[in-house]
Amino acid sequence: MNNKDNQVAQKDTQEPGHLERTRTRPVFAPHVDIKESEGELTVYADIPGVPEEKVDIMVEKGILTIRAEVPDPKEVNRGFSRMVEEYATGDYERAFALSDEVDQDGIRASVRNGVLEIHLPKAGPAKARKIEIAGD
Amino acid sequence: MIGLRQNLPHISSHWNPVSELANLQRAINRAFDSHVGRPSAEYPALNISANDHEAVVTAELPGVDPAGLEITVRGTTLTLKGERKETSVREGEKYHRRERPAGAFSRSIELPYKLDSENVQASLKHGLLRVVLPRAEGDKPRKVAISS
Repeated sequence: MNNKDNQVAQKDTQEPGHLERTRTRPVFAPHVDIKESEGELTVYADIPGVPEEKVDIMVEKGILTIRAEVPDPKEVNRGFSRMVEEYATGDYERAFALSDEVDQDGIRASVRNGVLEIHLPKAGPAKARKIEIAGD
Repeated sequence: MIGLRQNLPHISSHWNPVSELANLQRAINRAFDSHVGRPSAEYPALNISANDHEAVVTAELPGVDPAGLEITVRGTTLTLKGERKETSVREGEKYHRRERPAGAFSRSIELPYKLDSENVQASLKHGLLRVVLPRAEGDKPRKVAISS
């Protein structure tokens, strides 16, 4: 398991993340649970490895977008060689079209044990607007 | 056919579409192999790195409470046991999506050397488990001097 013996294998796994960072890293769609109650929509997303400050949530034009950035694994530059790689590490990104009007100011989110929880309160029932059609 | 070949640059006279496809297939397989290795049917999926002194095992365990995870080391074997809880639904709530896996899991892996079980360290942070497994002192590789 000497470092020098494993140079080829190491380069395969390390270079993409090491040299080009976020750009070449894979992006995964996180698994989500979405539930709805009368007053709100709740989204749970699995984003293992992402600290709270690296999560970006956006609601714009009825689209909810989640972005989460995973830091590099600690072993990358410390002379470790990969023995087993059953899962790949990458950032998370996913977007949903929201069916209801969401109260943008009321959105709350938290990250706990690698699960992002977003509460999207529904805005009051959108008032039906009557549009007058001008006759001739 | 010969005329066609001459019109196409960068194709040698040995061009064989079938073997080209086979090459492409191999290249694709390689690209995926180097990325994910062999995906395991077992849960959780593990990544393992090692140097001469220790191995680091990592696993993505979102939603697993540190208190609910059991890690045991015996001889050369590491065992992870725990549970991923389902999202709770109260009355009047309904699911739109339900993709996150849930349930109990248990996985054992054998390392190629004896572990110093006293000094195993584990952390579960942001749903990422990291277990550092030092190699037992007596099991480390030793340099043998050759007497002349």
